[in-house]
Amino acid sequence: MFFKRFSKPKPTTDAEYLAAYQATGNLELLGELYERYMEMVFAVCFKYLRDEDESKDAVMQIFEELVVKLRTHSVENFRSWLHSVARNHCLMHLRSNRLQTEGVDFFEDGSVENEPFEHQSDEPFELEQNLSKMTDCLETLSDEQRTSIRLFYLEEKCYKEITDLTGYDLNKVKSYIQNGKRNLKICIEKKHE
Amino acid sequence: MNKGKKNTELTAEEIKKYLSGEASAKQMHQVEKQLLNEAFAADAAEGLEKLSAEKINTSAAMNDLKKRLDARIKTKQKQTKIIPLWQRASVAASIALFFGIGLYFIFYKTDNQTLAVNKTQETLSKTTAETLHEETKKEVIAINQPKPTKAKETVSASPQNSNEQENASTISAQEPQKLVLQSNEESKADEVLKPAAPISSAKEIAEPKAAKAPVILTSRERTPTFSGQILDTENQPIVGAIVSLKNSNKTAQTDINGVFKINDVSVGEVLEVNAIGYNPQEIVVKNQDLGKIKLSENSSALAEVIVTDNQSKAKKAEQKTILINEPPTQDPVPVGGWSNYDTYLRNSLKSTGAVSTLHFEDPLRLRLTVEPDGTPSNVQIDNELGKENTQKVVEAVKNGPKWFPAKRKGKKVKKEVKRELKMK
Repeated sequence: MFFKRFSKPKPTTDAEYLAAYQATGNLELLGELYERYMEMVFAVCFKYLRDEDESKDAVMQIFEELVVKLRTHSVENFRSWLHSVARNHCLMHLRSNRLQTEGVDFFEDGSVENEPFEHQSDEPFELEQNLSKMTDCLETLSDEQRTSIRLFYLEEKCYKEITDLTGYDLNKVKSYIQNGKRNLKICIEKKHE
Repeated sequence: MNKGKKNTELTAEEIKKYLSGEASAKQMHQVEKQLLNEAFAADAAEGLEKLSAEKINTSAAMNDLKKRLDARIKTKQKQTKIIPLWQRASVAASIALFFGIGLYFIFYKTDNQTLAVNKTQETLSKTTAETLHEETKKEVIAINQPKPTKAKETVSASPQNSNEQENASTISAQEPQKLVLQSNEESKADEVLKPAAPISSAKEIAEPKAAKAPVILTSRERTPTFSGQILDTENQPIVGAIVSLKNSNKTAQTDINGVFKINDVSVGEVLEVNAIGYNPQEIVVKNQDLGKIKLSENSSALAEVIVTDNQSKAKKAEQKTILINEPPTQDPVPVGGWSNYDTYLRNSLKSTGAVSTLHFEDPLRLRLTVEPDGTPSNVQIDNELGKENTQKVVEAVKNGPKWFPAKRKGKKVKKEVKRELKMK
């Protein structure tokens, strides 16, 4: 361990950290990597658990999961993988506690099993590059979605500006853009087939 | 794809800045776009928003978590520190190597070491002789000033001798009881008064072979080389016997003919002769030819010789001599040595089944009398083996190797032997 620490340069990227940890099992390395994302993990946990102490405990428990899993698993995209692990951990925790938190209804729609892997793709969908060719698809969207999408992606306005320009509610703008984006993606993928 | 890559690197700090409303419209747009592209960031943003809505201080929570993480890393690191197999193996190997080398030196290097000591000794004595030489020369001249011609003779005849005289006088001061000769001060007077002495030694140097006849030395000077031959009781030369000057570390070793040569020894000093498997002997130096020195075999050392020394052919020859030759010691010894005897007895008893009832950790307690002619008689077993088995043991002993009988004052006598034999 002593020699390895000196013979190899200190890892910088996530992948280097993962490789070094997998080779040595050195918890210090894993700890350094985890610290980078700890606040994000904490925030994600808080989103689901709605309790500071429970979220802290969850952060530590997730670290324990990493200690074991990263020794054997090869993870290509640590960030998104970590998100899945954190999310699943919190959802499992909620399920085992039979807690029904407000506005969270993932037990009914089976999101625990399906959702964690929804955002695994390394290359995010690049709407801007396809948008000009997608006028047909844009036409399929509702007026609100189309307007919001245009302002957001083509004129690069932020949510607040769109609210000011259109008079829509801020949360509505958010969902218009999210849903509009999803619909466009589905439409474009259909056209490619 | 730079933008795409940047999407995945939204940090908690950036999200917090966005949520605080401090960012510009353009920055906000960037963050929003990234949030749309990455679920992790979006989830975290939602969480952070809720945290700030509940006025929870995330940096305090983070400090707490960092401490917990550190503590976790340190404690478990100690517990789960795995020493790789090769490290343990190398530690074991180095310990084994250490002991191996140690044993090697203890058992096999003894001869070489003494040789090395001999060599350094020789060179040392040479150098001291050279340095002393100059001083002594002057001294002798000074002492002999009243008779300058004689002094010159002394110096020219044998400068080494004069040097040795000095050595002898210092040594004589240390061990007066060992010396046949007078004390230091007297000797100097002697030299002045009897200048004939160095001349006699000069003669010896000139005709060393003529000196075979006993030469009575009247002064304490040393002759350069003393030699002798070490033999065993059968007049066989003992190879590798060590001859050392008592109370000094000057040593010599016998060659294949059992002959040794030792320098810078003076008459009256005591030499010790040591050889593996023989009783040590001391001899007083009387003249240059120390003649034949006989060593008696040491039966108690026989077993050791057999076990440890089987390196050189010379040693093997020595072993054979030891085993064939009758030891002149007090107690009876089986012909062929104890370890061979034990092996014989063990094998024959096992094959006849005589000791089948004996507990394997119990030794067989054997008593027998060795007659002066070397035959065993009156064989008794102290273990309870039963009549039949006891008879088998008695027969095995009687049909076994003969014995070198015990000796008392050189005469062969009858003696009882007790032996405990482990059957393992």
